[in-house]
Amino acid sequence: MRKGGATAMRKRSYGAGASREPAANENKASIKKGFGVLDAFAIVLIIVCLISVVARYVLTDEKGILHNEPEFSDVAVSILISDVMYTTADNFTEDMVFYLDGSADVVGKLDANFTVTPAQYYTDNENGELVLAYHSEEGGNVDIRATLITEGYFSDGTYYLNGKTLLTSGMTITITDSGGTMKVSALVLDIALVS
Amino acid sequence: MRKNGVGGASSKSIRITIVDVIIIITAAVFIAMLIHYTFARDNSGDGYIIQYVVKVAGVRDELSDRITVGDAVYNMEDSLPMGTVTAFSREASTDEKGRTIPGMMDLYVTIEANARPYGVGSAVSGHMIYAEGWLELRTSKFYFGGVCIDVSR
Repeated sequence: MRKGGATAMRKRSYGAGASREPAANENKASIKKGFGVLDAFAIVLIIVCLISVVARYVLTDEKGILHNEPEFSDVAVSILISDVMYTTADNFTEDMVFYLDGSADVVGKLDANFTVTPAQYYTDNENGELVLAYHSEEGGNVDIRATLITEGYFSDGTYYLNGKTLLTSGMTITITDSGGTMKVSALVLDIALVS
Repeated sequence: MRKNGVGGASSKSIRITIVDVIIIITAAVFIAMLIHYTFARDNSGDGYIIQYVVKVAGVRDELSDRITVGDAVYNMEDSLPMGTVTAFSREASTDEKGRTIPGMMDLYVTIEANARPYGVGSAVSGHMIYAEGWLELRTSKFYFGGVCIDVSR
């Protein structure tokens, strides 16, 4: 009886182990073989993304099909620099390059046709009214009207300098020369395509 | 025995892994965003039309004719639409003593726009419009900054 009991116990314990192991194997198998629709969808999605990235790169850089950035044009930007020292105007020369507020972003080249006039200011006349007056032509402050030849494009009538900086008349921009020694505020008066 | 076998097979087919959960969540978020941007954005049920007037003081005479009725107006900061110019007038600028400033004009720009409630007031493209508020606006060709002097529904 004892022997038989021991045998039965061994058999029982063996039997219990046998029932667990196949279940575990079954679970592993189900995880390995559980390739469902969602997995396929995920893989397809990843492949489509990769193809899209490659296609965009190829079509943009080589074929130019997706290259939708407009071409830059030469655009004349008329500016008014008010009430600056005459020595500042003396530094103005044709083709000098101006930069945007001390940055490396080029605004444009100075056109030859710029004018320097005595700066305007307001004063009272004998009747107490405000009237325009002008600084002395000798050593007084001056107004500079100039045109900068810039590059950029128009989008819906709005000009984008170098394709990124929005520029309209009425705006005041700060410009510096290439040496960074001159920094002036300029009112944008007009923007027009160079014909 | 067969029935049990079949039952075991069906329980295998609905087993969901963490990857599946991520995909389901991603798809749900994508669909929710699609619905939001397709319908919620265009839902103008709580929108209404307002008119507001902006006074632009001290504009040089040579620039004072750059705004015309019908011009689309945008916010200078984010270029979001702020309405359309429905009326425009200008008059000579004056100083604090009431004297005319030669060569300078004040512009009065009336803009009509779709607005939404914003607190107790109204906002256009997320920008609150109220009298005495400063606005920096532009058309496609002209920048102007001024004070809102009137808002009406």
